[in-house]
Amino acid sequence: MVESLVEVAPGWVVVAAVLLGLMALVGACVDGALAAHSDRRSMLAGVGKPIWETARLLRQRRRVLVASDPLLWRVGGAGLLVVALLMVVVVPFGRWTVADLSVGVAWFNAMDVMVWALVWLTGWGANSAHGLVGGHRFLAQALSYELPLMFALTAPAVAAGSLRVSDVVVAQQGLWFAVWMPVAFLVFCASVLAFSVWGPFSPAAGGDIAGGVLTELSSVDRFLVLAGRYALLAAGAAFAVPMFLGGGSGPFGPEWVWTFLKTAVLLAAFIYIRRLLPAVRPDRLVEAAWVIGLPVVLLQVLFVSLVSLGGGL
Amino acid sequence: MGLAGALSRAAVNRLHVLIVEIPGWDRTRMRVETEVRSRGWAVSESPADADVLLVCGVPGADLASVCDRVWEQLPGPRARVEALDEEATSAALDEAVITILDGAVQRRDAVSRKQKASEGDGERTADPSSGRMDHTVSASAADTPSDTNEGSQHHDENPSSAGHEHDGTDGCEPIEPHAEAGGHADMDHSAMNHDDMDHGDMEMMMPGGIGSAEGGPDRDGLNLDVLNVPLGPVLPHWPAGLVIRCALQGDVITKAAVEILPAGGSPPESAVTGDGDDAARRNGILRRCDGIGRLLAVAGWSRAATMAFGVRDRLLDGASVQETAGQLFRLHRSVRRSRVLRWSLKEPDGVLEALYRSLDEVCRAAEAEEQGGYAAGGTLREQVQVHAHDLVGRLVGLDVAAARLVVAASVLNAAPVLVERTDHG
Repeated sequence: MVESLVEVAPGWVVVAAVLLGLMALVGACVDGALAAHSDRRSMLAGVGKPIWETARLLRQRRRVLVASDPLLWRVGGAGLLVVALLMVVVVPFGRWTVADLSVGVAWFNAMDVMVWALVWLTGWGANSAHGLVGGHRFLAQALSYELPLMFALTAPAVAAGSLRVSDVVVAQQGLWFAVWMPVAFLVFCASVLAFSVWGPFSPAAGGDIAGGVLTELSSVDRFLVLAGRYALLAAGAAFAVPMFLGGGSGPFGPEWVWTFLKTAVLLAAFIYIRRLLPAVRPDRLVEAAWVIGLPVVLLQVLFVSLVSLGGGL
Repeated sequence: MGLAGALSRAAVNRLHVLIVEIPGWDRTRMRVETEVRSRGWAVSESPADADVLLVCGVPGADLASVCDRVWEQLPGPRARVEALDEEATSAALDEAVITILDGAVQRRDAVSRKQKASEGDGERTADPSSGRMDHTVSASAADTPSDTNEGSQHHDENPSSAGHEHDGTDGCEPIEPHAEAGGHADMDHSAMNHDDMDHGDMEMMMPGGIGSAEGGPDRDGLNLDVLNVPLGPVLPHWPAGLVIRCALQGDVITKAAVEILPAGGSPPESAVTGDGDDAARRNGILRRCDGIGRLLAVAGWSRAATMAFGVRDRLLDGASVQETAGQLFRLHRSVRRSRVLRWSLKEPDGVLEALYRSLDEVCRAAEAEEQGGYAAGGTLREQVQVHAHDLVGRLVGLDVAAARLVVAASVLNAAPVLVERTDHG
């Protein structure tokens, strides 16, 4: 059972950062293992991939590009990690939370909007045609996912009657929101993949444009962007736990274990999806998102609102 | 050494290899891809991401200068190796590891790059033929007659951007490698005309002597910057030696010109023909699988692409068509079944059809092979020639993603496979 959450001192944000980094690392290891598996090598051989990649990138020299905007370019690259960390400060870890804001849900939303600017700057700042095309693609994609994401976040908030994440957790004592608002949950998950430039939503970093926003990145700059992507995926998975998966509630054991487990499982699913589906081109996605996605999410919110008005499930 | 040594030993577990394929050396390139994958390394998508530059084959003059400029963009530590035939690939990659681990070599490389950069600054106007490739060659697409006048206007505005006058390289049309845009790493701020990156919307001149892009009306009647961007010849999953010089507005191609850069030698015998009928048939299927895999990779579906490359790799290793037939049918099923793919490739026209047709033909050929083969003879589907001017007509008006799909689909059927059985007698 979830009792009232304890807000810990701001200093604990360091622990939150370590946990986020750990999750991102786990995600990268899973990805490495799956990659090795699809290449018909042993999965164990791929687990070390993030370690070797990190060693490789730390050894590399940084590039200075002609007529680029190094400041904005690097702000874009390094910002992804920062945004991911700002997302997880409102996520309760078991019974503890760093910041139980009264507008926690809106806070997460504001952070994911920052990703628009960061990915765009990463593509634009390098002064490279391929990076620029990648940036364009991301903005087109963002136009598709942002509104459905906002409404998907609205559904749990309406059901809980609060934008405070801890209230949303308490409101799921009986039944997880993922169970009775599945559309909102699925749209949220898809949006997490989309703002992490991942899997079917990765044309902004597509191989057809030489890596798009990643084209010109090397060394530490590339490391920060790649780590930032994994961190965003992890932060998205972590935020889904209090919003849709009942927070730290579990049949036995301490609550933080359940938060951790649920996050890890969802993150692994995100990572796994990467190879499963073809990339969805942003110009095709726009149509689907606005004609199908948005109305369906709105219906979901309407349903949730009616249920809440009628006294809840 | 301690930490640095440990770091470099960890790093060589996962080197990223940038492959430049010279026309005619496709089997060598495939072998390199296989080798890279089996070592757990990665094929890199851009020079910035690469540790190793591997040139498959003997480049002609143009391609050689492209290789040189791509080489300049590798951040380092770096190694440059070449493979002239399939047998040489493994040794080339081993050599790359040794070079990357050799601290002394890498330090010398870094120092000489710094020196070049500072010399380059002082010398470039005085001595444009000083041997640095990018003095004379990185005159980009805009300097060639086939281009829009947008680029040349720039030059008039920017007399300071020296070195773009084509000095002494008239015979060789200069090409910008794919990630060229702003890609002169570290030291190269010597103001070659990077027309392809002039997307700033500022009116003033940019640092480095680069002017900003000119506007032009786009298809929606808006005034959008025009960028001159060559696609190729070094792009992931891109046909060898192909360059498409595009004028881009946003990511829509408004003008295109196609060119194929030739090799500087002839490929080894085995790469041209196999020995005997059986080998020729296997080669056809192998090349088809390669093309299918590359199209799927461009479409961003790595699982299916990996399946296609899996069939290709087994054929490359000497497996018979019968042995791989099961894998091939599985691939056929998943591609045919995928709704997401069908939906995502609804546009541009013809890509999905070409993919389906190619898969069908390959599967039919494999089926026939399974049922006893073509010992009695059969017809090879004629080699489909890709006509450059047809391609250009189809590309204008498409965005880059669609154009890449069209290009990948157009070379899909370039390899002959058996399509029908002819009865003798």
